[in-house]
Amino acid sequence: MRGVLSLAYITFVEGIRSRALFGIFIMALLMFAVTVTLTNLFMRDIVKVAVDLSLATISFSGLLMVIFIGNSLLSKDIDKRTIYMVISRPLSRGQYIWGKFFGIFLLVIAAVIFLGILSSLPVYFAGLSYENPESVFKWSIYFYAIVLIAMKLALIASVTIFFSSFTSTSFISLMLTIAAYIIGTSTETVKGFLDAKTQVIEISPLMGYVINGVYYLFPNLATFDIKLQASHGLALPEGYILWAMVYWFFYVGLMVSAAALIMGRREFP
Amino acid sequence: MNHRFIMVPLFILLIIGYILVLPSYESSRNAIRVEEVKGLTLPPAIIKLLSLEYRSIAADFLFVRVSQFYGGKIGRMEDATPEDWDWLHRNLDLVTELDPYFQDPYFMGNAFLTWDAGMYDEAEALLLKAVNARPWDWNFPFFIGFNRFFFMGDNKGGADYFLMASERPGAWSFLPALAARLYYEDKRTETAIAFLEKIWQGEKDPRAKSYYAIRLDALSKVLFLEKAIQVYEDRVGLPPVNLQVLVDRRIIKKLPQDPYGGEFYIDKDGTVKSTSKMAHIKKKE
Repeated sequence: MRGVLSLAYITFVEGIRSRALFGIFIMALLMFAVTVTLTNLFMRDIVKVAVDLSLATISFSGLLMVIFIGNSLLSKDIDKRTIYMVISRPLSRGQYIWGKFFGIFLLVIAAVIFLGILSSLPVYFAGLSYENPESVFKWSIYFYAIVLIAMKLALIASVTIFFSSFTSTSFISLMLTIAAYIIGTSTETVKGFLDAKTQVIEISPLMGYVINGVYYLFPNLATFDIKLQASHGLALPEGYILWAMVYWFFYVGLMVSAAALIMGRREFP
Repeated sequence: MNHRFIMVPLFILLIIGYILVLPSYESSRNAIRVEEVKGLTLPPAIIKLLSLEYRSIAADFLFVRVSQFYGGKIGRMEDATPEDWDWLHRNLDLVTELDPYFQDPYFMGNAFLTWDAGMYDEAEALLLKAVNARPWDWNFPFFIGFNRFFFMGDNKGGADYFLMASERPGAWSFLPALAARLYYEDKRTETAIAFLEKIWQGEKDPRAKSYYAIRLDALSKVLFLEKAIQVYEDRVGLPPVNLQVLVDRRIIKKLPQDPYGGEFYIDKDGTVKSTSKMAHIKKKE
């Protein structure tokens, strides 16, 4: 366990020191600054627009961080053969994978806390700039939305680790992660179209099975997207966060354990 | 030769050149952009898929695009064609499909689709989405009520929606009284002015505010003429044949000017109307 924790810590520090992280943070800062200007283009629902932009900025910059930095933290070890140094230590390959995951997880939490605090500033100022009695905004739901973004990013990190465990180059795992992200965010909408059965074009039963299969195989990232609820202060169904956490726990656990199993059987040239 | 002697002047020349080229470049780019602003409206299902998790941002940007297009038209005092109004309606419908809780597109749709485009049914369908999505918001049943009463001549329907609005939090306290007024009598222009004054007071956007101010000005002139006609009828016992008679009889000093650039006249049904139909008339060059 100590080995896992110290590897997590090393991974976290390595991530923090990454220059790409500064670039991503500067981009996020610029976007928060732009939010204040952009809200002037709207008439009434100014807080809603500020919340939309702030949450999208956290989500997007977090995504860049996980996809590029998270991916490089693991794949770099394999690409640059530094993994030999790690796996020759008294640390199992499974522990190595879990350590990497916890390191990236810590990085995600630190980044989201930082971005979350910064993002609340434009939202706060937007609320001061124009009093709209019909606009409903609740900080609690905004806070939940940020927590769910952090969970989504950690889930994507686990997917990255899973792909890195069997691909030979970091580029392939990067591409696979991006594909999984796109499928993960849209799978629920596609399944919704299928279930609604209102479309003019007939969908074959086989296609139906494929869509359902993809829906259960890939993570349903829409679960972690409550931006619309946050920007309009809409109440979440009872137990929503709890069930999202349960889903997250199992999916992340499965991804990282699968990666650990594959890594254990993998042969390095 | 030292490279700096070439590089520095070259750099300065490039900066000057860049600044000089910008205006011509912008105008050539704008020639395309104006055409581009309109164009295809994708079905909501496709945009929902393409916007991934950024659906509400997509709604925001789409709304900015629509409002800039119409802001430009109003600014240039251009007439919008029926196709323009149709495009506006489809896009506002799309924005509210992406984010059904978003207030601004409903406000915009209510302002333009009724007064300017005359698309009352479409406006009502759009506003009904807001009535359902925002059960805490009294503005939208109020707007439907106003449109029913003012544009569609459906006083009872209007009163029903005013009552629905009055039951929602924050609604104007005089709404039930207004509803009652609509149920029993018909003071169309006065009631409309009372509503518009309230809307004008609550409006924050300067563009929309001046838009309502002009409309209020026009309506108060219509009310002024209607009262003068009433005075004429009381004196003569017959309705006037035209508005000029009111000046000839010295009931009013002169005919008021329509802020939209048209001329007021008495319609066949005895009401005062304007040749501008309460929309800006494009100035002839």
